[in-house]
Amino acid sequence: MRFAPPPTVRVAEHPGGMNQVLARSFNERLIMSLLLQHDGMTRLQLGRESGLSAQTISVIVRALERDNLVSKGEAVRGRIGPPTTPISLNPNGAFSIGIHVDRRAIEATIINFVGVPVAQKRSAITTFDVQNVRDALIGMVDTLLGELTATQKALVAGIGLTFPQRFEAEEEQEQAVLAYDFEQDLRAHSGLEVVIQDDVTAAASAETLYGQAKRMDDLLFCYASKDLKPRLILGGRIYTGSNPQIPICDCQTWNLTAQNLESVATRDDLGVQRWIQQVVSKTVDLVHDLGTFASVPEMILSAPVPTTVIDELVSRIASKISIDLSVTGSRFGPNALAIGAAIMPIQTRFTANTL
Amino acid sequence: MRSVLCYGDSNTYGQTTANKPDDRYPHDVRWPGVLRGLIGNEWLVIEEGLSGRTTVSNDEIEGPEKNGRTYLRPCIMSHKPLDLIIIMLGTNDLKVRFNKTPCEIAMGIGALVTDIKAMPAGVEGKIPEILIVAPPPTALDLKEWSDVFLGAQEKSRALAREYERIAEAHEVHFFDAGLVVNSSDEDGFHLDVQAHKDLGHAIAEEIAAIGWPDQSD
Repeated sequence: MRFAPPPTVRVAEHPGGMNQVLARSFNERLIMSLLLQHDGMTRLQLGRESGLSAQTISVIVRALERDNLVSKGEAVRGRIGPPTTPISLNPNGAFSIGIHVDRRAIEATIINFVGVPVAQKRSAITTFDVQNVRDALIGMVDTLLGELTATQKALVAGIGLTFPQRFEAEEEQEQAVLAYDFEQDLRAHSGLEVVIQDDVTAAASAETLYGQAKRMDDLLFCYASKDLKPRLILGGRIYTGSNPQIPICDCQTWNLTAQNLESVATRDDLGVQRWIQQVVSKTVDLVHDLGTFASVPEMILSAPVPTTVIDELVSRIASKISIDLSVTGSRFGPNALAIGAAIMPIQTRFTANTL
Repeated sequence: MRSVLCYGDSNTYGQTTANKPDDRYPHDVRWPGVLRGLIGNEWLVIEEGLSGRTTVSNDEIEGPEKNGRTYLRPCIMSHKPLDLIIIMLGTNDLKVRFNKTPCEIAMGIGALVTDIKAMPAGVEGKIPEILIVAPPPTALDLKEWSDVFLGAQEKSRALAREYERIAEAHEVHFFDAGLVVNSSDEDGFHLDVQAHKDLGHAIAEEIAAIGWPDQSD
């Protein structure tokens, strides 16, 4: 039996901001993961899903409330029985910066704790070398932080940085960019944690955290642009294998297609139609190939194109494959890769899932 | 039917703020009665309030029966099995004769929690759920009680925080009654009729929020 004064725990009067978040216990992360998956859960539901006791849930929820990470929902009076109070994540409880580096530009976003972008920026890179990319990254971080109030800045969980696995052309400078430690520079400049990942893997995790795959365990995620880049997610984990890139068109064609896709007027362009057709046929082939050794019930398609184009791709793919696989279009839109980058700090700090 | 034991002091007993016949509110006015009115079809609400009850101290002036620790075990044994035990104590520990800091008063609550956890007082030999309720701070003017409660005004304002720490350390439920009620200005430390009503409603919400699986019987 212990009669010493209790240890100082987190108390409302001494909020420690994000620093404390590092020390989030596994159980707290488990509860936050559940709240990320479901909009509003009662303590009873949290207990059932997590296997934790009611009193443990109660302690955790109070700690999360104190740190403003969850907000108590309105009491909902059920038809029978006493009121239950669903708990949801507080959208303004944390923010995260995501930056995706491409050959020609940097795409960046800030998302809130429920994955909604609160700011989006883009800056072109004229000369693609380490110095330019580094300057553009630091400038971008400053621009993004400038979008936030002082209170919001204190709640930034970190910076997620993504790069393609390889750039479009294999040149010396590009290899140098991939090899350079931007993580270190950004951390020193901003004082924030920096997490690096390849772009498509991050976009796939974004779907499982905030997107269409929230409650799916097994699925195939495909990102289509110049290439078709698939990721297989089994049991909620992204399978990190050889990460194939299936070519769809060459670089020049893609750049032209991407431009034409932006406007409705040029969407009937022959090149666009050919790209759509290629994405459909390569995806269908991929699904058939995959089906020979693994079957997944769901597929999510993401591409840097308008939603209407995603919908067209989805319906054309769906008509050509078995009904046992349901196809869904990503709702992140052209910014999917930046959102993918932004989810990483949230994932590493708040959830029980690790890639 | 579930059962909840409301273990407390005069503010659970229903001591009136001003002198009245019997000095006690009728049963349906006291907060456990209000609670019964709200959840009584599913819960047996057991009232165990005693004026002057402390957390763990013998009271040389008011008598040994005021010690909340010695009565807790027999009390629980007479009412078990219990689904939930609510403890709202600590106001009397603020009396200057006990010379306790807010932290020590909270440690007294912790001792009661330890005692409960050492008994198979719950259903099917389990430990019941425990809800610690921090009493509201005293009024700044304690009237004729000012000497008895010397320094209590400040100490009582630190209780909720210390109780929350204890609740956290022991992994039990916690509610700060000061969020919904104030001590009456009439005598400085008792609850008036409206406060009993508000507290009863708040406790009902807290009980519901804990979450209770459907009973199969």
